[in-house]
Amino acid sequence: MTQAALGESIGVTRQTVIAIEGRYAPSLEVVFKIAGVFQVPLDEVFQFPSEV
Amino acid sequence: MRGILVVVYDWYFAVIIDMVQSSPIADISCRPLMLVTMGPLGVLAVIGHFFLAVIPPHGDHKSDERDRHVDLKGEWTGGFALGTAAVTSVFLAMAETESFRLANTLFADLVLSEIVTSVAKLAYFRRMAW
Repeated sequence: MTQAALGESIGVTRQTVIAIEGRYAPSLEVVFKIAGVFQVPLDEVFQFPSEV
Repeated sequence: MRGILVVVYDWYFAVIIDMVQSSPIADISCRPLMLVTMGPLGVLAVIGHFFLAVIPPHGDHKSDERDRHVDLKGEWTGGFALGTAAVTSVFLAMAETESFRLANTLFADLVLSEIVTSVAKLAYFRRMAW
């Protein structure tokens, strides 16, 4: 799936998808939408880097 | 809009500096010049916001949550700058600074806060760009 297609399906721009792949922390709503598009649990798409 | 604000304020500032150099501050009345500057700026701001709201974004320029996030943080930073400048102006007023300096400080504060807002938005946008 292209960044543009993913952005289209979750209602954000391709630039925002690029930013999410980088350092931008998206809203919970977008996080759920992305997981929904790929039909996977949230933690398969997003991981929070542990500082411990 | 902010570009117009900066250009108009530059013109205002040049005129005020010229007035200050040619006569003592106590003899200067900046009210007419401020009205001439702020009146059209207010009208332009209303017209500009109207057209920005009415004309639909096209192509890849539609806004999303990141744009709103950047906008919100930029406005917050600008608001913080404006608040800080306002407190400075209050202290100037308490120090019984003459109205000419006080009015021009307040006007400069307004312009400065708009510039801070724009710069902050650009910085947040770049920081959230990747």
